[in-house]
Amino acid sequence: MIDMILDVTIIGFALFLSFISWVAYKKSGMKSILFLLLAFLLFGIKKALENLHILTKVNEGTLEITATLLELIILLLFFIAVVKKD
Amino acid sequence: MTHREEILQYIRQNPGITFRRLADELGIGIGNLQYHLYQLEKEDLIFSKKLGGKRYIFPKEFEKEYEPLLIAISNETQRKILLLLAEKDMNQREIAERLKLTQATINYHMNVLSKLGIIERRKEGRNVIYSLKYDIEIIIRVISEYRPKLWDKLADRLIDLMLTLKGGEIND
Repeated sequence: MIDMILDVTIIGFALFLSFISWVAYKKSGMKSILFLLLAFLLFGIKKALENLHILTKVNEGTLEITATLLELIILLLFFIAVVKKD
Repeated sequence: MTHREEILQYIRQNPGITFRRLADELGIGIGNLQYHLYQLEKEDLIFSKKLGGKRYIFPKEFEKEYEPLLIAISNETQRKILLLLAEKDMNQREIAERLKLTQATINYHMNVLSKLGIIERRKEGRNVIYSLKYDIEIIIRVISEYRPKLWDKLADRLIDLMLTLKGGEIND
């Protein structure tokens, strides 16, 4: 039960950070912040995917690969956000 | 002078005044003031804009000037820069030191303010000095009434964080 509450909190926080990034992007027009937004959003999606088995039957192997792939994409997005020139 | 003329005159003397302050300073009831402002807007003598939960009221002749000002004050660092420049003209290094931010971050915000036409730069020897192009009283009045939302504050900090991380690479 506690892990479920923590996961929901993480998803909520990821969505909140995505929203903050969206506001920051709208204010500044900095493209690098769009990459941050995507990273936060994907982080929330990854967490939701990891809990998908509660709602429906899914292949755990596929889910694991997808989650790992998302982790890689998230890291890449953070990297691009920091190094990209606006 | 009618009540409505008195309100219009007060707005012309205090462009950017908020609805609540106008009601307080003129001692007019909210409903009564709302009615007169509605009529003045209908007659195209004033206009109002909502920002940060406050309604700012401007005389019609201020229409071209208000937008850049409201855009400028919607960012925390830019508000601080404008308040510093209201004290005295400064160069970027002094502003960066006072606000404890990197010069790259300040440079970004100065460019934004400059493009909006709120500040102007002049060369003094090897120094570039910045000064306000707007009426100081209006800037201070509008900023002092501005109450940013939590996400606005966080977004402003995120922008400054990204600018600091990127150092001098920002060109816009």
